[in-house]
Amino acid sequence: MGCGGGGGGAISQQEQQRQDKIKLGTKQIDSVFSAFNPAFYQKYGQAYQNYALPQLQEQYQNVSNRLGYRLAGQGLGQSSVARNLRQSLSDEMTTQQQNVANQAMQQERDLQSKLANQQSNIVSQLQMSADPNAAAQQALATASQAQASPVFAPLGQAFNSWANIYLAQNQNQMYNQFAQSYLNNLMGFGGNAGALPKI
Amino acid sequence: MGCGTYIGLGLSALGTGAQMASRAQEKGAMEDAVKAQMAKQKQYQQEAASVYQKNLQRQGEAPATANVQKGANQALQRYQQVQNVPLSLGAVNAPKITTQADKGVTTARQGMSNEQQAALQGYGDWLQGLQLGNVEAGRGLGLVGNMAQGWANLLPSQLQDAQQSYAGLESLGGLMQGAGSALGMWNATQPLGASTPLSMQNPATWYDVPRMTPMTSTSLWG
Repeated sequence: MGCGGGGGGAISQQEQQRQDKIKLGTKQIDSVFSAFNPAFYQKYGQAYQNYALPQLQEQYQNVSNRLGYRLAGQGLGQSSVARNLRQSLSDEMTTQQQNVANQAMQQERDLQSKLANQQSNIVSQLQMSADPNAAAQQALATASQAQASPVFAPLGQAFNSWANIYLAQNQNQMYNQFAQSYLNNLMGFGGNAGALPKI
Repeated sequence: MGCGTYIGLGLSALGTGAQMASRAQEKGAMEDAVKAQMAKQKQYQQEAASVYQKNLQRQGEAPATANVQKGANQALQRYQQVQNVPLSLGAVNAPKITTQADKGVTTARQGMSNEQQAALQGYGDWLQGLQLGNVEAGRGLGLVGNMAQGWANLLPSQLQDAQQSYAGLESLGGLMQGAGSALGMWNATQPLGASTPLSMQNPATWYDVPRMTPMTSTSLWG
């Protein structure tokens, strides 16, 4: 161009340098977050399963034993009531196993969303600061935090609902049977006290 | 008018010409700056469109169906994996499903339940994919937008630069105009000599108008 000017060129150069730094920082951030691939999330979900399944199995064992004791105590070990209750408990276990798997998948999704948002935040900050080193350090800190051993919430009482419904129902049935037999016996309707169900 | 007047007029004309040329150059340079900025913005627009299109491709019906199915299959595998873990604790009194018929019923119920749950999970997986895609696209668009904005912010400065790039020529034109006017003025203040084209005969003052000698037959024919 003609005489004078030249200040715009320097500003353009500065802007180019800023954008180059942002591009470099973005590459570094992408490189750090590339460790979070499907295999990583699957491993994370597996960790949740490994944590939750033994708890579920223990709870199943407890409720199953309670049911077994109760049915045996009532002499109903081979009855249709026992068969139905076994089936019902088995269904409940299936549901709870699915819940554990669902929770594991949800944990994976939550972590994936969290990391994606954190990556976006770091990129946003990089755009403001144009400091690729700081952005890379922040990305590394986030990554190491995510890769640290996860802390999961313990499994709640998975069979509480089932036990409340079925074991209580079973107990009520037994109580009603006992009360009916007792009344029949008392009023001389031919009841047999020896046949009263044990509770 | 004397020679100085002509020189002054010439200088003024040259100065005006230089100023006009400078303004035309300025206008051209400013237009170039705007065109360059528009070309850059167009380039960023294309980059942004590419990011957007990539995200849009994940949102059609076909990818949705495929992703729901993929998610459902993964969930089903997960259920089967969890259900295949043996119940390791010994349970003496635990009731067991013993008959083949009951086992078959249990397996069938479990299979159906797994399939239904997995189908639901497939939708969850698909939505998660969409959400992650949107976050990624937002990040990409944010970057492109930042770069585009960075260059757009420079436009006023570039325009100012273009405007000032021919300031020297304009100043020279202004100086020439000024010098021409000054010369003309100076020349007008000088006493007019015999060499003046209109042959003014010793005017008393500089503002005397030239007088014409009356034309008579005597003067014409001697």
